[in-house]
Amino acid sequence: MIPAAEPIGPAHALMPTPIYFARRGATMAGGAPELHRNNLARKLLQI
Amino acid sequence: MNLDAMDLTTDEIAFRDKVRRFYEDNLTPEMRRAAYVTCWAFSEFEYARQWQKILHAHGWGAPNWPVEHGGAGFTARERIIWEIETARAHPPGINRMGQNFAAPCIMRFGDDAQKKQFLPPILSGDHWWAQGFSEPGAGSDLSAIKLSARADGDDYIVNGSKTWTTSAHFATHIFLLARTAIEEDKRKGLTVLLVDMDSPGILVRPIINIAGEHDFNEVFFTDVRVPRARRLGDENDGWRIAMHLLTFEHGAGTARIGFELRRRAASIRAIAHAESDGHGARLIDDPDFSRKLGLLEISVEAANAVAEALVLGAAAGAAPGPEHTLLNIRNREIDQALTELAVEAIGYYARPISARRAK
Ligand SMILES: Cc1cc2nc3c(=O)[nH]c(=O)nc-3n(C[C@H](O)[C@H](O)[C@H](O)COP(=O)(O)OP(=O)(O)OC[C@H]3O[C@@H](n4cnc5c(N)ncnc54)[C@H](O)[C@@H]3O)c2cc1C
Repeated sequence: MIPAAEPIGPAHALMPTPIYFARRGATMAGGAPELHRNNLARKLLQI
Repeated sequence: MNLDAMDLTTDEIAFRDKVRRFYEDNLTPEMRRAAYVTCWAFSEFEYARQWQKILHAHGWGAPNWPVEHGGAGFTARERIIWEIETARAHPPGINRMGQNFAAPCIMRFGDDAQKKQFLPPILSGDHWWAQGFSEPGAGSDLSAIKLSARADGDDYIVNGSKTWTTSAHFATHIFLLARTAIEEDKRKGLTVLLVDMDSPGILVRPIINIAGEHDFNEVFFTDVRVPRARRLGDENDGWRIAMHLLTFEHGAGTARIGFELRRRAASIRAIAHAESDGHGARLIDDPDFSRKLGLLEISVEAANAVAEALVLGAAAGAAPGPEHTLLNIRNREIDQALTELAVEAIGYYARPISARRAK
């Protein structure tokens, strides 16, 4: 399983991938952006 | 946003320096490391709780709360300074589910006994809250909640399950949205319960993410008895309370988020100076990559300019409007694009690996 591997590469290469996956989730919590866009559009168009 | 935009008064500069000193004096190297390797919220729980206790000892356990409940009594502008300096110092995450979500709802809808029982331990870090809203069939459509709470004497009996429950594995309490009645309008018939996580009948099962981290969980409830005294607000009025909570979820920390997006962009630029483009040249000199980064940096600056106007406007007394929601959506999109570009920048090293393995 990949997560059991040891880190490789320079220090700056350690965090981007875990952060990418975590932020992907965090930016969806409480409703994904596209959903809020739809809600706003409905409100503006009064539909 | 940053503090340059604020034209600080002498008192505000003194306040900023006090906050900076506080962080310098109290954040240990271990805490800084714990914060650095935490991607999502508060995986390094012991450090997070320790940090909350330090904040509390300084009277800054929940600076934005009303003073009568233990808030720090900051002015609106001091709050902005606090948020930005906090982002700069990058301490371990606090229990946002307790402090920013459960607590404001308890303040608004709770009775005196609930306020007395629950607010002080959130402040001190003795209670740690999880948010029990999402279910396997109720995410974006929150009103589809099925977990049921049936009245039985002085109790409710709770059955069902929640999912994606962040920090349920070390939470002492959960803020639960449950169905108490079936109505045609699904938003009716929901009720909020304040539940002890050590109640008999609760089972927490970890969800491990692709990087091997354990941040969230499935939580199963089987005939869990919850006293009626633990109902927040009226029966079947849970939707209104949930919406009150979600306005905090969407609105919190605008100044901090802008600062963090800038930091993310700057770190990609630093990586692109260090990494090669695969043909011996620096990645930053690759026209395609630098164009993408440049466009994102412009988006970050634009979002920060809007944040600045909104945050300073709110501090001067302007009522919050839909612009906050718009900015929130934009920030999330920029956040996604930045983290994706960071992965592109590190090329072959971009494996889903737990940051906690760092030496
Ligand atoms: C890291 C993380 C932590 C979380 N922590 C918690 C927590 O502590 N407590 C809690 O209760 N919940 C938590 N959640 C759950 C979160 O609130 C839900 O993931 C979110 O509401 C989305 O629901 P869902 O996952 O069921 O996705 P779905 O609702 O199934 O959505 C899947 C996709 O379909 C799209 N979609 C759905 N409906 C529409 C529509 N009407 N229009 C356009 N597109 C649509 C969405 O945008 C998304 O892309 C967490 C989630 C994550 C990722």
